[in-house]
Amino acid sequence: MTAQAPPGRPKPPNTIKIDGREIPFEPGDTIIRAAWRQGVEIPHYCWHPGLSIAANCRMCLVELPPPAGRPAMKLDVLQWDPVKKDYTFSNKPKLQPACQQGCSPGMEVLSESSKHVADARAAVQELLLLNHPVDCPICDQAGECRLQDYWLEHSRKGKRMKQEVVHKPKAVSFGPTIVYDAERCIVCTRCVRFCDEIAKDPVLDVRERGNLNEITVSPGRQLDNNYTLMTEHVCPVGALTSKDFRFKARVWFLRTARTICQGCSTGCNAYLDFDPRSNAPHRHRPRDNKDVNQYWMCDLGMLSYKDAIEGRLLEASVGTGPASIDDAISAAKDLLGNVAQRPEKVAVILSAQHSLEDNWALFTLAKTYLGVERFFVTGKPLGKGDEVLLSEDRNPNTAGVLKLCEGNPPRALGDLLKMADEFDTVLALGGHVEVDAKELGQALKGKKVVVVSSHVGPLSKLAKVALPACSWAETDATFVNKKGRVQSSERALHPRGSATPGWQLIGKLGRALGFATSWRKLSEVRKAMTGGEPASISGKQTEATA
Amino acid sequence: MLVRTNYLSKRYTETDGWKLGPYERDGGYKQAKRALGMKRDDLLTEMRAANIRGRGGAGFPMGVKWGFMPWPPKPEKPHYLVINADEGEPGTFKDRTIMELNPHAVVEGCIIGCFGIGAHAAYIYVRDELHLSKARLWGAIKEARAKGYLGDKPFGLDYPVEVYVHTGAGAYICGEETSLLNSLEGRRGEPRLKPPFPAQAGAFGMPTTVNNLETIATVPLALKLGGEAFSKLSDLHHLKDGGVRLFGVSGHVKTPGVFEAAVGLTLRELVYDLGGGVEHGELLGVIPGGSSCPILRPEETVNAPDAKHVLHPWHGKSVLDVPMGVDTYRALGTMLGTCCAIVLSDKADPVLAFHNLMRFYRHESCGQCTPCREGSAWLNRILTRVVDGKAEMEELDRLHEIANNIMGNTICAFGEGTAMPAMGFIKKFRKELEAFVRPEGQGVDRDARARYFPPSRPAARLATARSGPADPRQEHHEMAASRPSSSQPARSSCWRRPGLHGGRQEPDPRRDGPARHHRRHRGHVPAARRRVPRGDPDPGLRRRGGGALPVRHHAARAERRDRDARTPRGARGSSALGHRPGGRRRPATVGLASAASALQDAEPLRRARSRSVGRELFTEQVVPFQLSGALLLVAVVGAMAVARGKQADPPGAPPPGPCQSRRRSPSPPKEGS
Repeated sequence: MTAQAPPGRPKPPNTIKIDGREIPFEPGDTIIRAAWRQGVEIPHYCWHPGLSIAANCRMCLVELPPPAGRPAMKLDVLQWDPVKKDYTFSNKPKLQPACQQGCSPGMEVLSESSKHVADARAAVQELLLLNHPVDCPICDQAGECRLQDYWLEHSRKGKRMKQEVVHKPKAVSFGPTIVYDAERCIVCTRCVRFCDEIAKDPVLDVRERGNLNEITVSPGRQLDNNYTLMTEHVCPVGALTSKDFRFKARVWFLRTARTICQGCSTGCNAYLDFDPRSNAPHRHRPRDNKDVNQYWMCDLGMLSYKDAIEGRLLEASVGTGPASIDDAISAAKDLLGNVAQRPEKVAVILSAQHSLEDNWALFTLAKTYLGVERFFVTGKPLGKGDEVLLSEDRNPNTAGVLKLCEGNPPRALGDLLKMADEFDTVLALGGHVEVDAKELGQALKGKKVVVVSSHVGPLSKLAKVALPACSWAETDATFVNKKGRVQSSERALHPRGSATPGWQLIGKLGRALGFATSWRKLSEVRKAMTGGEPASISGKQTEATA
Repeated sequence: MLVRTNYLSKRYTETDGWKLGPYERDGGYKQAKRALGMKRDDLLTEMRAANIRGRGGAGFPMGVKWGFMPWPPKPEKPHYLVINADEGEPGTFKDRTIMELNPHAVVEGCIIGCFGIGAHAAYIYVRDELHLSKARLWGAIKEARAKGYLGDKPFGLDYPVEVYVHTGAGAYICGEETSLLNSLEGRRGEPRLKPPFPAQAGAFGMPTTVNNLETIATVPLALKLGGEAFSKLSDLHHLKDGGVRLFGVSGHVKTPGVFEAAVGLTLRELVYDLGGGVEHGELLGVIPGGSSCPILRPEETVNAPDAKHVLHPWHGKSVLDVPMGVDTYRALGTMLGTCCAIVLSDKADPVLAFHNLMRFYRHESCGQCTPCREGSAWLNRILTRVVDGKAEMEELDRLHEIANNIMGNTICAFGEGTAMPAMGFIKKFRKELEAFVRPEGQGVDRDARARYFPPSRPAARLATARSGPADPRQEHHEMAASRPSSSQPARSSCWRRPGLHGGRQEPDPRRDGPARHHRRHRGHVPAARRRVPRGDPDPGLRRRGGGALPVRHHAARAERRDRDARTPRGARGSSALGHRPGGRRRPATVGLASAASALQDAEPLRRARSRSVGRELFTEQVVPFQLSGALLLVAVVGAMAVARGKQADPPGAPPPGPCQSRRRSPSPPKEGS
């Protein structure tokens, strides 16, 4: 509490007791949020830390014993007495939803330890599954479904209603990305609230009433905003499924790496789920980070996992023909020749698409060993941003490149086109450019172009020697988002083709040219990059996932 | 103690009694003028002293509720008064009589209420189906405004007041106050989370008081008599339950209707003195105040040996002899509710009544909270199986468990409103329920039941003649079909677009054939061409892609109704009505709501209806409804004449005889009989 305690009286501690365990809370916290912050889970479906409170699933009911001396609020319930062969009235305490009930100092909460709570949760669990088709074997949510998890924890009973379930629409297409199954839906309204509150596009709502309730899209509309895949992500059950992920993988075969989204300069923290057996990425989903993306990601980012496979530069090339990496490096050495003697003739293009390590390696090779002064930066062209997460700048590391070249800011690639005559050699990172490919082709005609890139792009196509770098998914890497936040991304996949980490390729090239570019390990690069300091990595990023 | 009073219903029997003239003659609008000149605190003190307990069911003291409003009002946070006239509780029909026959009391109450809570606008949220009520309210507002009682300077005093009538969309849940506020704002009618309570953030996020319509209509009277004097009219003044109120009684009584009396009346007096006693047999049970109140059986006695207990004075007596008050009834384990009792005779089948009730709650649950959404449907499903003779004992034992799990675990009181009557029926009619469940699993002994329910009974014909479909399931289907999702006026009107969803594509008559085409459109299929099997094996079951429940054709229905009205019950073929999969027909009157609705056109109201035929009306919209009402009336009157013979009015009934006024009305020949 911000209010000052009166002098002389100790301020009551801001803690509540859940099942006897002390849990600190912040002003305005509900019970479930305070518990969640401490990693204590109170089961819930409809509550989400980033959304408003709906309190409609009734799974998080807890018992609040009344303060000493006050009577508890009791409700009449009916019990069957098999001896007397008659019903008798008994009572139960009124339970409160933990997602709605605010914390007050010293409050006592019974969650797991109350029989009434256990009964109520078991009942809710049974009721939720009453009309559920229980089609787990063909459901994409299986393995990460709350209905499954909580059934194990709270119910473990067979279905007691033997009759046919209520049938509702199935496989309804909500838009280009989402499919809805009303029978699996528990009408927790997370998706509705997400669209209203976060995406600011209130396109979903509930229709019908009672147990015929279902989610529906506004007439004349589709679920087609920038955040449609998030509705699938917030769905605690298998009601909303992503067309992209549907029927492609079973989640228990997937492994997960903590990565940084490559879609734009916001640098959303993400999980990349991949199948280690086939070395294939399957989806991106948000990793909670309240300083960057909170709990959300946009569709562009969630689908950007495909860049780990699509449009990749997988083999080295010399001229137009393929070559091994070693051959390509020796070809590059021959091409560049005595490049150190004419640094003023060398243009170095850094890439906002590549990691800080790759850029640092090229920057160091060019500046320290070749003495090059003129740097350029390129990346994907600007796109349309929005006010939620998506930035116009579609490159994950623009801020990193700018930071690297502090004091000598790199110029835009457009400038290179204007002063192309001043150079005869181009050392470049990354394939994508924001300028017109034709103009670039004319400007670089006849020049000695060596490109290290993870993806095929106009630059790599123009290269005399092109070297295949690992994508962000295939190596540990560091990116700096538009707010200057340095974040690291973990390796998920094994490198495809002959892809090698970019900094390694550049180091090899430097050594081939006769320089002491001695880094061979990532830790060495990072150590050199930060001047001996351990790299500051993405910071606090592991808040518990709701 | 029965004390008939005549404050609210004085002009009920008078020609044009709902107009401004008669109202002002009896001192109308003087209290509003006086209130606007009072200090707010004085008004609140009077209202607290009046001990008006909310008439909508919860029984919260009105004066206390007014006092919850933040004071003084902030200019950026205007206060609102919202009047709940969404009278949807089965068996309850008191508010509509006030709206139809004494609408100026509502308007005057609104003026006083607005002043009392610091509001300048009052919204009266009227149930959609009450067309005459809306018309009369609109008329009253128009008259009051023309006289300068509403507007910028009511009575020339500087306290602007406006009163608006807002129409609901026919959802029971919108009678819950926060749900009503959502509906008023144009959102989906779902209860809100509390806190914040409406007094903090209600209509449009502003401080709001929600009062029942009868409550607000009582306010001018309380002010006129003085708070304390008004409260002392009641027998339960000492329990802070004051004044007079309207009592309704329907079901198997001889003279169903709405009666005004002082609080403190006993249920026995309501049923036997006002209701004229039980018709067709002996008293089986009474649902005291709207269907959400647990049923009381006459053989129950009060057990309150503790001298401090609120019920101690009635210790050992029958529950029928306990005065009907908010606290006394709560102590009895039931609720006073809306004070409109539904009477069941021992010729009625409590199991079918129970089933009917649960079907209602299943249909009206908004579906927001899991326990109520799924629980009410499960209760209904089990009872459907019980009634069909398919249930097993194991399922019977599940009923109370489901009800227990709904109890207290939902956002609003609808959950309790479902669970409590269910518990009441389960506890008090276990044997009857068991009778439907044969241990051998053979279903019901039809012959025994046929003996138990003689097929031809006057009341059966009454129900049929009055309201057409006597099979509540059919009624239910029609209800569902005609108002597919009336609970959601909401942000989107998506239910109008059948082609929007998978499985509900635009129909193609060439491919689908006429039956399927019509079914998809929830439209009507002529009986001769209908290919869809009649009757849904399980009302909870909705077929994939089909979308709609089976629907009857209007003409076919009207024809059937006419035929049923003409034919004695016993002579009807099984296809006429109420055919059920088990091959057993359901006795017509036993369905609770249909019986109640058949009878709920209480005497005074019926008189008003008959009078209004052909008369000048306030607004032209109501004319069609009036005419259809007149036709309906003819049927009712005819049937009543047969049913009741030439029965005398009960002692103590209001003086002007219904027959006279009926004769005055320009009725066509009695074809209904």
